Amino acid sequence: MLFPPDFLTRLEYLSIVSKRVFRGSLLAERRNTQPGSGIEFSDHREYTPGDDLRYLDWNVYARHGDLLIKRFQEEQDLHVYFMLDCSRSMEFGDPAKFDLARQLVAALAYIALSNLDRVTVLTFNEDIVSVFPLTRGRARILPLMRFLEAQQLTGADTVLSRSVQGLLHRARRVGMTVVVSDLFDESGFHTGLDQLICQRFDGHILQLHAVDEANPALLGDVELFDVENEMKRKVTITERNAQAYRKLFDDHQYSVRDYCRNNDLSCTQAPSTVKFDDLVMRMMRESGTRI
Amino acid sequence: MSLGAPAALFWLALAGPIIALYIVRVRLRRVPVSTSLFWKQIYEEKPPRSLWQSLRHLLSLLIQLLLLCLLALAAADPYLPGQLIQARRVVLVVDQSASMQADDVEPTRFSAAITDAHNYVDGLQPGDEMAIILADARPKVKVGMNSHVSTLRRALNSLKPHDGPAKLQSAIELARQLIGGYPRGRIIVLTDGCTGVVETNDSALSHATADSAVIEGSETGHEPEIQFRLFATDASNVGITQFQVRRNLTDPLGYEIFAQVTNSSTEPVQFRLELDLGESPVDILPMTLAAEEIWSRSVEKTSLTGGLLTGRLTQINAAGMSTEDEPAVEAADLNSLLIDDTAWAIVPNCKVQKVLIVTPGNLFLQKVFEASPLVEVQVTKELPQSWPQHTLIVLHQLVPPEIPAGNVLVIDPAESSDLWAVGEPLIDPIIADQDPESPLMTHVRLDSVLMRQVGKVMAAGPAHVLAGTVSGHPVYVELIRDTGRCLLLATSLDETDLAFRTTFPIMISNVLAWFAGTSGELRETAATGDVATLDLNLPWMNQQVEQKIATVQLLHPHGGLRVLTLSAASSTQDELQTFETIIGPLNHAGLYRILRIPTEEDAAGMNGSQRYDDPLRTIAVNVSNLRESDLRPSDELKAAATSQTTVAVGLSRPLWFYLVLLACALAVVEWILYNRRFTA
Repeated sequence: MLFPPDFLTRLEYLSIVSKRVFRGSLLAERRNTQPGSGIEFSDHREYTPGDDLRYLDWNVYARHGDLLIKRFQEEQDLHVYFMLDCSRSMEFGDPAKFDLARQLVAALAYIALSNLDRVTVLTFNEDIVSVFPLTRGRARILPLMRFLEAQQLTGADTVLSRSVQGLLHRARRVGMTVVVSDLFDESGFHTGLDQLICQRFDGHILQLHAVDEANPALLGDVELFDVENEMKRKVTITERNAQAYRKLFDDHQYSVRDYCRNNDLSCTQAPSTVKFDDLVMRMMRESGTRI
Repeated sequence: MSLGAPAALFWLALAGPIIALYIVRVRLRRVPVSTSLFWKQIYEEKPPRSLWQSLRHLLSLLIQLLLLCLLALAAADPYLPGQLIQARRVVLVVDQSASMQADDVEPTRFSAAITDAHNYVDGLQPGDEMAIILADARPKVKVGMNSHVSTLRRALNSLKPHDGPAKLQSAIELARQLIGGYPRGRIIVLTDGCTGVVETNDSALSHATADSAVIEGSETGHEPEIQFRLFATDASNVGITQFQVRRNLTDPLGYEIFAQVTNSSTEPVQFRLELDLGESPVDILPMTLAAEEIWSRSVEKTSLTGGLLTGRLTQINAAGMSTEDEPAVEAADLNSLLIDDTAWAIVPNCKVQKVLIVTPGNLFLQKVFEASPLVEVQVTKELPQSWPQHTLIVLHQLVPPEIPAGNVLVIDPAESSDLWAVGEPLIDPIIADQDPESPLMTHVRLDSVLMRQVGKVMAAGPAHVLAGTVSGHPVYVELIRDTGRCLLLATSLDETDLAFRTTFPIMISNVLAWFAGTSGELRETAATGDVATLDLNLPWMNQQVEQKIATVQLLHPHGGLRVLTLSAASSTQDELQTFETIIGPLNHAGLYRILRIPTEEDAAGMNGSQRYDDPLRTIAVNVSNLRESDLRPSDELKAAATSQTTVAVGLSRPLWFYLVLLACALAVVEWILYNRRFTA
């Protein structure tokens, strides 16, 4: 069962823990610094003709004779975009990566909804497959879970760049984007993430992998069958080939971590055997450290 | 090519499953992967499933089929037609002598010979037959002519060297008889060459030529080829080559040890000969022997009890070496055979003689008998009603009318009896003559001695005068009779000073020794390979009276136990009967013990102090053979062995052996091919 009966209880626990321990460090209570018509003072700027005189700081003018306009921070809701990889490669692992990914999306979405943030979920493979529309309020978690449960693994390949473009077309505002995927994108994961960074999206990468993917127990003559593009390849896997595979896989994981560090993105890598709540806690700790 | 077991070719049917498995295997196992992203990078340099890889699988199939064919063919025991025609009869003569235990050849000469014998067994070809003959003191056929390799192997593995000499020539003759007149006979003698004269191949050929001249046209004119395989070096050795012990004939307490030690090497050696009687050391003789020197000596010792005498050679070193010097030659190199470093002998126990003195009273007479530690004296002043058995009866003055049977010494008889008549005493007679050859007169000089008073006795029957007067009257005489020995001393102990003279105890000592006899004083030590006659005095109890046999157990030096059946030496049914048998050959040095067969009383521990494992008789057996202690092979055999080292013509092993070897090689190739698919 993807979402067991105690799933919501565990989500509530995660929500409380996130408020107490990681106040302001994750999704909840993060505010845009865009000045506007809020009530919380932000800073001053010089008066220019045409400004509304109601915002002129008369006290400063009385003391120093300087004309300064008071600026206020405008409180805006945070938009959180979840990009869930639903390519066929996500069915690997025991438990499957896709199951863990959906549980993670549900958990993080619940925390965001609890903090009155706006949440949307987009599933993708070669492109955006389906969208759970922008929503708000804790009560929306059940429809969201039903949406996640209904998702199927489809598609011939993973193309993150095209999927991110789909997100950018749909996003009303800049916000936080959480990408949950194995990032097995043959065209490279950089292109898609570069677009997010360019659009000033705050990004968090959740990269999942199966244990067998990191250390395949394959030797001898086999026919490899790529489940995404259904390509077959007869190979003889020797011990040396297996070692080379492990090295390439490790390099790939390292390149993801390195990219995120260089571009100020949060990155969490985990095997599919990890429990979702443990992973959320770890993710929050890592985010807190980063911030 | 013919097949010994064509039914084994049915194993070729396994080719079907192998091909089926191959077909199944080429349909590769499909393994779904989440992405081929990384695999592409690995295989982008070389195309997967290259032509060589494809052929490699086909090659594996061919190798496996070939492997199966080879194994099935090997199981079918193929042989060439020529092999059957040229079938041989081979007789292995294995030298089991003591010198084969020498360790100058690793691990020992005998082990090396057995290993070599296995090689010959391996080399048997179809149709060949082989027999094994053991050459020891009595050559015998261990395995008759057969071609069953397992039987031959088992027989070889069961062989152990003996401690005796080897009659190699007799063994070769026996081998020749086994081969008969077969044209391709071969005798392979596995020996160390430490034996007597042996007929080599050349002399055998000349012998055959002479025979064929006599038996012209006979089918048995083929002389088998004799091949000597020598397992020996010119090793040095020091050994005890003689070790005997016997009781002293004149001194009942004494015994003499005869020991002979031989240095069979070209180097002088020093060592110690340690002699122990039971647990007690008797003597330690340090000695130095020059090269090739033989040392012999008799050593006199005394012991009342007797027992097991052990001689050991210890601290064997090169001559002139102190214990602190660095040895130029290792002690082990000077003494390559250990079995002849120890020798055993049995010192017989002294018999205690029971003496009954019947005298009206003479303390000197009583004391002179009591002075001997081997005498148990009983004194009585009156003639007893019955006479004890196995007792020396001394009658002083008091004599019965009829002298009892057994050993009797009569001194100064007062009256006549059935063996003599007493006359008037002779006053102041001079002893004019004595028998110097008699053991009774050893160290005794009575001639020209004036006696105060001597009884005049006349023998009623045949007598042997040991000392007599001038007038011809006997003074000291042996009365010859059928019922026992009887001595008569006519001198009065009260009227003469004979009892005070030193001659008197010597005379009595001679008398005791003479009555005791010499039986049992020599328990001759046997040499290994000898047979021994065993005679035992056993009671009829527990014996099979009707069949007149007795059974005892023989305990071998190495612990083996077997039952011996002895036959009665006479048909009388006395309380103690003498039983005899011949045991041997005694192939191992050490102590052979004759034991009673335990009874139910022994098992229940109700037999008092007499234990069933107390030996009735112990036979000491030593190597005692100069040729076995000399480990250097004879020059004749050395020459014969070096000139004939060829094992076999053509293939020395059966065809199946080579087929299996080839199959093993193919298995290695297939293993490499298989392994490269995983690790290359």
